[in-house]
Amino acid sequence: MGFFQLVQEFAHKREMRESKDEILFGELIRLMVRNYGPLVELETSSYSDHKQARFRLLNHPLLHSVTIKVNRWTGTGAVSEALFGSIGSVTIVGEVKNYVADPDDVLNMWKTDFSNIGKIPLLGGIKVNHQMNSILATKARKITIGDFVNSQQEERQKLQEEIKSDINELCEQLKKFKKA
Amino acid sequence: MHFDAFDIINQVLLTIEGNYMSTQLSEKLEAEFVSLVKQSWKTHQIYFWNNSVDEILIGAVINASLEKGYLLIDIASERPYPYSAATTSTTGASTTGAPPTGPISAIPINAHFLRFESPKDNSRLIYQLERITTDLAETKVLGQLARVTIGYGEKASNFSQTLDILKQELKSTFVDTSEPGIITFDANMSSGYVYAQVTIIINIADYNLEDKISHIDYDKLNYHIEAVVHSLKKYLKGRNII
Repeated sequence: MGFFQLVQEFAHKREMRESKDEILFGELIRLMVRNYGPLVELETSSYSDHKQARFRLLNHPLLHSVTIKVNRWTGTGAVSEALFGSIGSVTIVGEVKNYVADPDDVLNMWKTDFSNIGKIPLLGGIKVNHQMNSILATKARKITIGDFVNSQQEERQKLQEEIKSDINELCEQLKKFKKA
Repeated sequence: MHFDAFDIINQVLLTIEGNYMSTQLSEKLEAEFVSLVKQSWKTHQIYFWNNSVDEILIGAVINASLEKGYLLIDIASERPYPYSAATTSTTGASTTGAPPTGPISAIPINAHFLRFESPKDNSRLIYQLERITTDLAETKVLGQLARVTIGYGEKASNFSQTLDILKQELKSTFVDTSEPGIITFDANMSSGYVYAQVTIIINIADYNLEDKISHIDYDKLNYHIEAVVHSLKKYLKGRNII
């Protein structure tokens, strides 16, 4: 292998290492667009490894939208990846929309906020944020991005099932907030 | 005061009728209120879908590309940097580079960049989409216009090929690429990729299925992408660069 190819290979490896969270994010967008609804908001920042996409659910009986956030914690650099691997989190936010809100909802918001104390989405807890027209439930899971990217179909299938089950869990939590 | 049975029955009937009328009126008014709120949401949704047209297409492009075996390796969708905020502070330190804050966050994101790579042959596709018409009034009159730059890239097998493309890239810098249909070339020295790219102007509404903004005609989208990529591939290979 010549020097040019060597440099190319090195640069390519670096690019692919840096792109692992984008690969995961792309798979999540495909999963959501195929199974739930169109992508309607997208925000990725060059200032951080944070990416988020919001999907509008067209025919879902309860959810108005779902937002998926991907955060990469480690593994952007070669040293960090060798030491800790590529670790990050996937956060899912489900939204129920009530088309009329009144001042009683403000009291309910406070109740919901109090019941949220001690709930940590990353430890399996579902946090509910009650706004006027929207009620948002948040769940997060830690993910080893490297395993997902390097694996073949099985790991992707597993992630898809996990995301679907998370969305179902959010639905269970949000059911009681939907007004007729 | 004297009431006979007839008066009492009459009074009761009048009260029942009055209550019935008032209940009926109340229900009618409530129904009207519900209809007004529904209408408001309908109008609100028109603005919402108008803002999301570009993201819907981006989602469809990601879905279509991944279905064809590509991997998304780069994505950027950011608000335009608020130049007014890029000022120099009293200490002389420039605030350029700080994330946008304040009312700028209310501005919808209308520029997107995507890059895909095929794990099979390491070829790459790039898409850069920027909306031309953004306001509802503009889109109603002119359509959902967007300027899309599509690029196709392959790894150059030796250094001289990359240099050839760099020469082409130098020539490309003298070309006014704001006009559509101009093929330009680009080389990435570090990763050794060479790209051919072209800008086209599309009406996003042309890709809507059954006139619904939320539904994308994947057959049409795939066919158009294939047509552009096919031609770009020919340009790249036809010049004996690859």
